Amino acid sequence: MLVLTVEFDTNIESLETVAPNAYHLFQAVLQIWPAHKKFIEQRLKFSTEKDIIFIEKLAQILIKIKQNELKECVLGYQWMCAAVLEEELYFRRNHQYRLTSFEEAVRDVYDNPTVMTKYMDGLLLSQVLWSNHTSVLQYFHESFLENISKPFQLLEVGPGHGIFLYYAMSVKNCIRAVGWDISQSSLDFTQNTLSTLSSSAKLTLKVQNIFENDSGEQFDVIVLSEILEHLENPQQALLSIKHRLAPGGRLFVNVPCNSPAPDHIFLFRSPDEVFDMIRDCGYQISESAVFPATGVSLQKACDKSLTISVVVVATV
Amino acid sequence: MNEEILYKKLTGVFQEALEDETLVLTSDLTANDVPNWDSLNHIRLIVSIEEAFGIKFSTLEVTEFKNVGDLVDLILSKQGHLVD
Repeated sequence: MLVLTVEFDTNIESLETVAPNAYHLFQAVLQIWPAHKKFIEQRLKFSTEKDIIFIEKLAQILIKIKQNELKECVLGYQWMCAAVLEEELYFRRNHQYRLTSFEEAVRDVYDNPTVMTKYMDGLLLSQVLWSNHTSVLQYFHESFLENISKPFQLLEVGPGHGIFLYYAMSVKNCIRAVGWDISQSSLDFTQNTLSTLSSSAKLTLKVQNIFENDSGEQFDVIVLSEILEHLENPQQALLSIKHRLAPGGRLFVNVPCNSPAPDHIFLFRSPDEVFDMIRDCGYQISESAVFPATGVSLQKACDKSLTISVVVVATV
Repeated sequence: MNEEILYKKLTGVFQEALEDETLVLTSDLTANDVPNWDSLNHIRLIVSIEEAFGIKFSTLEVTEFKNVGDLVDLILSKQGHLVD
């Protein structure tokens, strides 16, 4: 398949025939939130044909998950964007995240089912609407999972909306996918997502805290996607999962820098801070990639301390 | 600070925050008229204005003004006293 790598004319209207699911999803957002058009246009501006193909498949998945609740999902996304803007205001004024402890995040977010539902819905939709989120998912699927040549067992810690586990299970070499979370209600959300999409024969979801002892089971791949920034001490998490990696196993980390959110605690100020922490915990980095926020160049994101999603693949 | 001086200073803040040296402020200019003036840049713009003019906006004020004219009125009303 020929893949264009240069910018081409992409706007929302042009998607109607080439990417009907993406078009439908964007229209559903604009129906409720017309003012978001400028952002969506920015998001599409630098998309390649390959990106659009990925976005279309992802939109199809999201529509399938939220087929009868698309409106609620858009409202959740709108709520999340407003919440992020408030955190952004605090961050720009104070140069730090508002929350400093996990306890505060539990109180404000994790123990509040209404907030959690809106937040999960918002994050799910952001996988299509925020270019850095889409790029990470695309990297995870096309550059990481598809290149694992042997059968593998995968653990995701904190699977949340479940979309990473879905992509893992869709890969032929994945023989088992496991999701751990400290919250049963969060796992219920993951289960709902995945049961809508596919057979869950490969799937195990379990309430498990990575800091507590378990059977000592090991995995070929461990995924920490948007987890470290939610912790007071991310080093402790990186160290505690080391022994759960099977020999030759690989850790996939996705963590944002300068990304204020209602439950973000640990502030990584640059990709180098992420790389240094992972190396300091005894890992060797074999791959990395960085994806700046929607509509922003990497140079500008670095210069102005804007959000950058950082992906690291590491071994012990 | 009179309105003319304020507009001059505010233009510099807008040009730097929105990275557009050609931007000319008029009282009826809105975010829809400026390509770079999206919601995230709006927050950065607000904080740059707060720092430049030594004022602080309430969360409501950050989102409620409709155009540059409203913003100028807000800045003029705030100069000399901080808002919690």
